[in-house]
Amino acid sequence: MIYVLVVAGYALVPVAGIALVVVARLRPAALAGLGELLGRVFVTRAARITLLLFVWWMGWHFLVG
Amino acid sequence: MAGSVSSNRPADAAGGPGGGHSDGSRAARAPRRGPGGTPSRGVQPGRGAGHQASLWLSTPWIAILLVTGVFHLYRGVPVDALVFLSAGAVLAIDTAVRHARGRRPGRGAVELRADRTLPRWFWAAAAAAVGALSLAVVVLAPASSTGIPAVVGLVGAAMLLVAWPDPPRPPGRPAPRVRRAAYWWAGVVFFLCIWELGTYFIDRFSPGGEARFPPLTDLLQPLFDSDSSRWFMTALWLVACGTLLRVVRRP
Repeated sequence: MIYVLVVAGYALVPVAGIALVVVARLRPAALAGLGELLGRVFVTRAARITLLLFVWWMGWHFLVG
Repeated sequence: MAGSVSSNRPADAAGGPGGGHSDGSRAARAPRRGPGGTPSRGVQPGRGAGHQASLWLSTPWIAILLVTGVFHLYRGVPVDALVFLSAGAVLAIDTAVRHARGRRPGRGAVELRADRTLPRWFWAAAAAAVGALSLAVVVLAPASSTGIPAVVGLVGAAMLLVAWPDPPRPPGRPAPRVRRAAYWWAGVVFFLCIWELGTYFIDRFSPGGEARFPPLTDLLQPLFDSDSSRWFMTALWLVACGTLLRVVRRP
């Protein structure tokens, strides 16, 4: 039961992400898309390097580590 | 609505990046025209963020890196900790130096920076070649070989090198719709972090260990280990890397 609950919590994350993408598509005046948001966030070097490092580290973690 | 209909670019929305500038700076924000009226791809005016680092915008990201590094030390993974702590230290030094440089009179306000000179197809072809080569090595090379860590390490180094130079985008106050999206996405990522940390600590300190609280790694690792799905997960990761780089270098 606890296992299912934990997995359900993780499953909420992609579900919420997809919901945000859909809402941004349906109501672009209310919510910016992820690409637009990242384009704004990536103006800051620290943000760019941090997010890219996390994505790279995930690949390292699963493929190598 | 009008801003979103005309374009998805944040600069098009009212109050978007650049929206904080006065009307008099509109001409300065317009792209330089080359021969024939086409936007010049050689040199563009850059202002602010690229040269005078914002402490307010940079510090949270550096703190995230340092906290992650310390957590990996606590978790007993010193190599991962070294990666995050080193990145945090480098970014902290870089931010401090650029911030101090920008405060000096006459420096950091407006500079010219060289834009990319290679055609777009070159970058697309290079990314496709690197992606195909990386995918082939990761899928075909034996698990214990040095090929996989070498390729994954090179992909990371290339990503960081491409992402390091500041893109020619002016800073400014983001539109409300962009800020709203930032809050929502930050909430989703924050929830994931809290959930992962919660399961980690509950699993670590649960008495007797009768209940199982799997971390995300335990749930996803089988997809990377299985021969039938390893290629797909690797391709997914490479596509994510390429997409992020595309956003980073988008003019």
